[in-house]
Amino acid sequence: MIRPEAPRRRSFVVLLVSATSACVLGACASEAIVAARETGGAAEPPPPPVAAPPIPSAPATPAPPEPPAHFPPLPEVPDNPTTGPGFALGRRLFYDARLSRTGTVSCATCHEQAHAFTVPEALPARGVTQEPLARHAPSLVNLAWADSGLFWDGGSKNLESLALAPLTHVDEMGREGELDAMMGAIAADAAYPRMFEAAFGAEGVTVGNVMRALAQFQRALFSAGSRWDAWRLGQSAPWSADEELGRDVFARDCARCHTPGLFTDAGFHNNGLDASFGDDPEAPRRGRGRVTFSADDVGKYRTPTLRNVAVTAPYMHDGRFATLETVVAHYRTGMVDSPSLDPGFRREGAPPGIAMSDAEARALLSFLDLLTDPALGLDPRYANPFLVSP
Amino acid sequence: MRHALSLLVVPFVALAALAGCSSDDDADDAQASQLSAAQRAELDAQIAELKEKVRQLELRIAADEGFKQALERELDKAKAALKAAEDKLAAEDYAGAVAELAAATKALADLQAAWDALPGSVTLEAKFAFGAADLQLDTPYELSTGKTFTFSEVRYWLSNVKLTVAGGATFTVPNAYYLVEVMQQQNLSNGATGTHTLPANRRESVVIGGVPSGSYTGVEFAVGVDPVRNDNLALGGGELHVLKNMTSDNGWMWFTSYIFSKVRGSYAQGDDEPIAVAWETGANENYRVISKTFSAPVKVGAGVDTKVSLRADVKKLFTDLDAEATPTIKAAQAAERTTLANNWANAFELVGATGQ
Repeated sequence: MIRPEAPRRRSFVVLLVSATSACVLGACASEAIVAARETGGAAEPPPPPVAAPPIPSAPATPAPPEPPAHFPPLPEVPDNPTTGPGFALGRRLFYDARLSRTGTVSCATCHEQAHAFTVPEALPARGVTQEPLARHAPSLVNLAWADSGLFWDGGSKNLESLALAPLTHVDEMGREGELDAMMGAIAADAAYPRMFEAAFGAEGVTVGNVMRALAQFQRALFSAGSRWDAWRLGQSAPWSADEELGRDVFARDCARCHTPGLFTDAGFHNNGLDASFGDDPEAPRRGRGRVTFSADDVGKYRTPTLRNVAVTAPYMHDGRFATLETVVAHYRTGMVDSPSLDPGFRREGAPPGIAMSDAEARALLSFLDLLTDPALGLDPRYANPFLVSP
Repeated sequence: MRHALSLLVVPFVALAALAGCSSDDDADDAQASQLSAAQRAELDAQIAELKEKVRQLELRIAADEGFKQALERELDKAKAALKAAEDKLAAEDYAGAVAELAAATKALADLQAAWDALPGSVTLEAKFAFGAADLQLDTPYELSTGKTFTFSEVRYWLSNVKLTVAGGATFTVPNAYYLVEVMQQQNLSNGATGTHTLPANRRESVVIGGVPSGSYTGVEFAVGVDPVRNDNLALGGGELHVLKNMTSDNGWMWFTSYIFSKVRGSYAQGDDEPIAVAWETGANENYRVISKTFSAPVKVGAGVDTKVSLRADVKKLFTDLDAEATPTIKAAQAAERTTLANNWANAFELVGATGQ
């Protein structure tokens, strides 16, 4: 068993521990989830308990989580369809620190369930070298619909291929030139060979299947249990006047890029954070331009989903804004012009930005609170399997 | 008897006519006994010839495990018929001997036809060269600038081989992803826990099995990896693998792509300190397809040694590129990458294609 990562925020330690002990006691957190989901309106059956005691005969692997019914159709992935065994394997790999050079860093180190699979620091320094990374860790929810490229600059084309970058990055998991050693550690584990076979058949323990399994798990990280979803499904209590106004402000000023539903257009935009982007074509601050090498794309970043936005500070690709208030203030008065600035922010006779009254800004923040999915952080299907089962 | 004779192939027509005479009911023994020593010798010679053919087919079948058992059964039939022919010849039953020879001949003709339809293999060679010379590592070569370049590594993915069938159809080689390279040993580990090394290697040819028998007029292949495989590093195929030091690397880290080609070496200018050069192509827009037409069609089939010989002249990689001004070409050097990819496309020349 791997020593789990210690979550860094005390409040979330409490959440995790309570969820874990509930599962260990057998009642599991699923009742709490069901309750949360009923108020949140997601019409799903209760998830299966995770902490099943060891049974001599092999228990059937639960099916992977189903996509929310009110979301767009789930894009098919013919090369790597998500299966129960593949999801279970991907989940274990996602939480397994042995994948890193030092045995101390897993995917979950910088993508914590309790934080909607991001972390609260701007530039996390949680990798094998403890050096701050170049980018803020993005949330991983609802990536099944992210078909325009992953990472903030879209340089990774799919979740399968993405895994290689953090695995081999010298400051993240440090396995550059050492993926064979990583595969040795995986193959030597008591459970993995059987799990790989269940997921991928005789091909078994291969790097390609590590990438496929991690993708299957991440592709099934659905977050759809917010009050907004309940409203969308006609199951919510009435909203406050502020929330109602906030919804209108959002529709007017934000929905162009943060398309309701997934709350992202999966596009790349320059939202006026910086005036210049340097000359080094590979510098991280070039944004999307670092991938396309096109001047038109300099300073653009992938639109992040706003789901769980109220609980996933800090904000932007570099985490430069610590609070949502700062973010809204940026759009109202802080934007700077540059050639690739999204034209939707340009105004006649005024610097770029969004005109919004103080009352509207406050209402908008109330609305953004509605996008929080309280069940996500407790969903046992997404929890660290090393914590809940031997 | 006549029916059986009609199946005989040309060399046996004379003997069959002879045997036909001997089979007349009323004069059988008398005429048969009149077989001349020369005729007898001819029958012996035909038996010896077929035995040799059996022996050669046995050798070929032994080399083709998949078809071995089925073919061996046919071969056994031919051998049994040949043995019977010999016995009947010894017993002076000439009509019987000729009938057995006819059976043996048919069995062998069927077997030969089945054999001819078997797929064959093609050796595709692309020898590394610098101008007229074979390329050697650690050897300074003079460039058109008058300065020298010393190679330590040249690697590329040779992929998606297609062979043009005479008449215009195309045979696409499945899973055709080969890593062609000449390089010294590479230590890939960053030193902490692993000791992963790639051995020194010179690999300039690939053997493509399972090519349908027939006549071929040309070859097509690519330098790089097609977008479908290149956009999903988990797919693999052929020799594609992420542990070959030809995937995401320094400079490609955030970029889903195989590295299509690598050139490493040092550029020397007089007495100055040599410049370390690292040139790479990658990303879908650098994928290049190369096609060559043979001067004459070549045959492919079981037992045919088919070889397509190319030269990859790495001197051509320096066209319109200055190793001093651009010692590094990686993801970020998009314009130079395009030039380099074009140079790769122009580096291959057809030396010849043989197959009989």
